[in-house]
Amino acid sequence: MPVRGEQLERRVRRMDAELSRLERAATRAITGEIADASRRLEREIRGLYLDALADTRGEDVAVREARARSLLARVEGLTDLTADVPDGELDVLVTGAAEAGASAAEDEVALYEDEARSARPRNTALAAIATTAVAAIARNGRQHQERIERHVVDGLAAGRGWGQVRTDLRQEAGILQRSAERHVKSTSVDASDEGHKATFEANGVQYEQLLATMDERLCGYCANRAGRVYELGDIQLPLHDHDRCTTVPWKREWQEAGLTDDEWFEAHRAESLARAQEGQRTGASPSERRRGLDKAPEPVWTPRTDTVAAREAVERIPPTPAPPPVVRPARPRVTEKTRSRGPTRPPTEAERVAARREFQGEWVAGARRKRSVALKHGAQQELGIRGLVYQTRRFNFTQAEMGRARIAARKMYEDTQAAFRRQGVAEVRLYRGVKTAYEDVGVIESWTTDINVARKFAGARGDIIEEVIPVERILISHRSPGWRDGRFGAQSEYVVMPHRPRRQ
Amino acid sequence: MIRRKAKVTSVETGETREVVRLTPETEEDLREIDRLREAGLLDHRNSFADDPGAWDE
Repeated sequence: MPVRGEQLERRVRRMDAELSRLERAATRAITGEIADASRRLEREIRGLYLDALADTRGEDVAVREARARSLLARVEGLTDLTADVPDGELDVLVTGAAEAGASAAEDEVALYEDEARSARPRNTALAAIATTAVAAIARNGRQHQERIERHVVDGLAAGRGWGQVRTDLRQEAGILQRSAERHVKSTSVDASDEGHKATFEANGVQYEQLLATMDERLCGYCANRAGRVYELGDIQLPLHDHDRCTTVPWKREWQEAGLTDDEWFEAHRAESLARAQEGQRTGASPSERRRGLDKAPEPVWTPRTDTVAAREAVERIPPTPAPPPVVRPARPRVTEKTRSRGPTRPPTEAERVAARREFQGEWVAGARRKRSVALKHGAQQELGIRGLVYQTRRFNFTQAEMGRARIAARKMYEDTQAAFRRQGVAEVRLYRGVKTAYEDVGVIESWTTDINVARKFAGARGDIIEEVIPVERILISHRSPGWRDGRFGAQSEYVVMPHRPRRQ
Repeated sequence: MIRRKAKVTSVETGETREVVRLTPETEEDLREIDRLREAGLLDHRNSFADDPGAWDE
């Protein structure tokens, strides 16, 4: 009777819950200290900044910068927000995670053998993990220290008010807290992996099998290794930041005796490969590359993915949401092939109407779609809207596509403005939902006259912006000629630009 | 980077607070925006359709 895969998985999840508890405690202590340090800095620097701002009004930039440097000298030591992060928290985390890993490994071995014992990793190994984590957090702190000091210098040089500089400082503290949290999680997985390995070794286990964490963000490295068996020590977790995979013990004699649940691992591997939206990655993982490895370790056994169990596992997967976006440079790329074409004839009215319909229909399907990104660039070029387009995918546009986007933007704007003129409307009260403290201002973005639509877009914990917007800033609205709602129905939508067009 | 504060009303509590609206002007600004997004601090939805989950009843 094999040890069922579900039994192994249950033990792993129990360990994961314990790791999460330890991580929360360490994260709370570390991010709390960063928040305290940020408040201390604000308290000390506020008065100094305001005095310097008043004293250097009318002075040239060099004088203001010099004053900023002298100001920073007076708060030396406070701008490194990680200076007082307690190292002890990381020691507690490392020890606890290693024990949790060792205890889980003992439970796993006990499923196969009558006797099993847990073993503590070497102190030097644990000390090295804790030291690495402390160093990583400190390194981040120094990087943010430089950014914090630059905000102060740039702020004073540009004559920015304290509120603006304070916002920048808080932003740095927030990012630092998030990165500290990431380090805590990686450290905990690293230490628990050491605990696993020490216990496997103490029980004569020479191989380990990778158990991937099955969620919608499963990466290609983990999918590639899911269910595979490696010599003990060939795999070191985490494979990358945010990796929650683990390993379970494996012996050849267990497999030969029919004790390993190969069918379950076939299904596990097939499902992992199907869930990894980026496909499998066969090379060295990010953390392996950091350790100087240039290729992935060789497995000693790989579950088959052409079996009935594997096929059925894939068929059971529910549809997954779209993959997380990848940020690419923002400028539109126009292909060379069409760039050399000479001037084209002006579009006919039918072509203008068709372009408006095409791009408006795409906008109500999403701003990250290719033609919506083209429309943003089209509005920029045709109407002179400032700012860069922040986009998460890089598209290649042909000259013809960009031309149509410009035609669409112009047609939308002309028709909409004409409609407002006919109605005698000069401005509109509009609402927009926001989910976080920062928002990037789109070259065009959806607003609404219906506050309930804005509430839904903001979500239960979000906020609503309310603004009276001059109609010259509206590219198109649900009341414009030819408007068609998207699949979410009527949303009383107005597509708004950040300022009036600079090209009329 | 153009930073503009906007007064907002919390859906949950009705309190008034501020958000910062960022307009990138340089490639460095885009990278900063990217860092904010990575850190989960930035709302990067432009079209209502960018958040299908918002319209689920």
